[in-house]
Amino acid sequence: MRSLGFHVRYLRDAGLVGPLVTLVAALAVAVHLGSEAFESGSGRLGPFAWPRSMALWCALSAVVLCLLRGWRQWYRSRAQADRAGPPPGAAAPFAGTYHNGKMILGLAGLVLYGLGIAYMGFAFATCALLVYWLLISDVRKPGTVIVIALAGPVVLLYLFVKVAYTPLPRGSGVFDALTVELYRVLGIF
Amino acid sequence: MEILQDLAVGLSHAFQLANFLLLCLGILVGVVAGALPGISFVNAMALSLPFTYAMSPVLAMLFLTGIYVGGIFGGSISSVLINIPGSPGSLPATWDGYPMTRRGESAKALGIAVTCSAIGGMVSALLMTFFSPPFAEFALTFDQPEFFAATFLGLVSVMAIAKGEVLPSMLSLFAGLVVASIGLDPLYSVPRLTFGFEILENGISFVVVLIGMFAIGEVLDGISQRISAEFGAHTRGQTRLPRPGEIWRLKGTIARASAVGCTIGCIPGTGGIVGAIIAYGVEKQVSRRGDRFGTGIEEGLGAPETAKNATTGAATIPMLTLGIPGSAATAIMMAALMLKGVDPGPLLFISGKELVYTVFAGYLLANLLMVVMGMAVARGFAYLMRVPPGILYAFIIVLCVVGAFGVRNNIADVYFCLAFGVLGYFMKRFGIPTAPFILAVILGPLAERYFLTSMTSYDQNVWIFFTRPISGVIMALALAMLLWGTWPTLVRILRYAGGLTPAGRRSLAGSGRKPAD
Repeated sequence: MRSLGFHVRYLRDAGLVGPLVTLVAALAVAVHLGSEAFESGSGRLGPFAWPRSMALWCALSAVVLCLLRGWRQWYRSRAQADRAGPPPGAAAPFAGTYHNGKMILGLAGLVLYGLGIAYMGFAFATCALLVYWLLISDVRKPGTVIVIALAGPVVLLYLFVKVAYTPLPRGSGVFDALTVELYRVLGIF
Repeated sequence: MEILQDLAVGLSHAFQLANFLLLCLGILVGVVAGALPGISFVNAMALSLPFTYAMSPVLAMLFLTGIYVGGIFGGSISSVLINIPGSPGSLPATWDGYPMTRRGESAKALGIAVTCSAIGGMVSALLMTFFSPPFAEFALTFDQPEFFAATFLGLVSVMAIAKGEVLPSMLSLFAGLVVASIGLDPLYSVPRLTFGFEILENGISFVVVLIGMFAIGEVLDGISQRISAEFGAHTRGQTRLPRPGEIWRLKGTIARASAVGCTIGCIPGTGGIVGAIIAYGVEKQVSRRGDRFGTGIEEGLGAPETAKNATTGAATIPMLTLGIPGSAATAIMMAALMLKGVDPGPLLFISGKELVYTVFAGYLLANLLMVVMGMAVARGFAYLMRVPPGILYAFIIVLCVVGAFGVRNNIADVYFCLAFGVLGYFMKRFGIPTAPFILAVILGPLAERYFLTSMTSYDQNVWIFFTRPISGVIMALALAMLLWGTWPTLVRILRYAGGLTPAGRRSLAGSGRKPAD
């Protein structure tokens, strides 16, 4: 009995994760569109015809891709079993050399930044993002981090809010008031 | 002869100090904006529009012409140096330009890109000058089936440029077409795939998808693959113009790509991205080194660069002669003219001859000046890339967020941008290319609209795309390109299914190289 981890690794190494996820998503979209009222009894194409067709074509492509990649992985596994060990240079093509810890930190940073912009406003959220991103990117000199985290948002605010009149988010509640005060101090307002 | 005299008058106007300086400033703004990922030259043109209020029509048009010509090239600087296209049309420059940079040939790649862009732009400007009326007349004969055929050709060209990954590209393309259909449908205004969110009724802007997938996805990929240390190492603070012999070797490529770019450019609604991708596809099929495209081949870089800038003048033809903007950029130029009380159209060639020929002269000059300014900005950009990648990544994220927010001044676009960045990262990680997805998001709404309006106008007769002469020719070309691109994959599938010969088994067992799908 093989573990769940083995099967997940097998799917990943075979490059099946992407096509399988796409297949499920495409079928879900097709079913969702199909369940809604379909226009036209007069033989004319309705508003859901195009996206539903594209979703079905997408699902078909995913099925064929899964078959081909699965087939190839099966042959590769059999060849490895015949040789009682991995052949030289036969690394799985989709295994990659990824550092998942950094990836998760990066993803978390993006999510927090997205949430932070709405709540804290562009200026403060960007300042926080710069500090966070520099630290996870191994830029750790305190002077560098402080200068970049403070000067970066100021330059961007001048460029986009004062020169280009882009109304960047100011945040809500106390952060809105703080951003307005910051704009006054910087001479933007 | 009369055209030459008028052009001489236009050149004399363009060389007046204020006009010339503003043209130069426009090119500089365009190249810089184009080179910055997340800030496209169209954004720069839109942001510059208020500055033209105080200018004369000639000054305004020269300024915007400079941004347009410079910006459409500028996107290739970031494509070549950091694998992030600064504008949609620069997407193909990543396929062969960035591999050249990885080989330490960034100076050569930038030189080829700027020279080919300038030549393509010059050809297009000359075409615009001498063939405006007949070209405009030709585009006027287009109806919905022809527009659909042209868009279909653009979508199909993905198969020809799939670099042996036809099935993943198809998957990505169709997924992109589904995403492109989010929002109100073009005929009945019925919301689709909005799940009750009003913001989705306007659809998802392709700019947001483009920024997210390329820039944010690239940043995530960089940080998780630990390639940070070598991120800037491929780029050197050097640029050089290619030697005459190097350009001469690309003469066929430049000629073909100029023809493709000029033809595609004068079809309203297509623009640089379609021209560049079709030119890449054509060159891949024609070139003796076509099978090595994607590994840093000069023809693979030169063709889309030439075609991309060759669309600029051509896209201006319908705007000036008919008042139909062929692209977002020319729409902004038209807006600038109309704000001055100047109505583009056939009468402009009588009442505003000086203005028209000064614009023609501006295009010619801008393409020449772009070589100098493009090289200078590229050199500065290459030095910028020596900054520690962690700092660059952080600012790329911030600029992407500003770029996404600026599309509609809506925080939802920021969320979409970040979400598509994450999607792009995982697509790359699981062996699914992102370029077809983005192309589909750009062309999908056009394809759907032209398809549905064609079907409605021609009694749901799907053969209309093949029976009308112009659309029939374009569709035949598209189908030929589709067959050509998918043939190797079809052969492989047949071998998988039927053969299973000893040789086939050995090949299937694999030798560790990344297999083609």
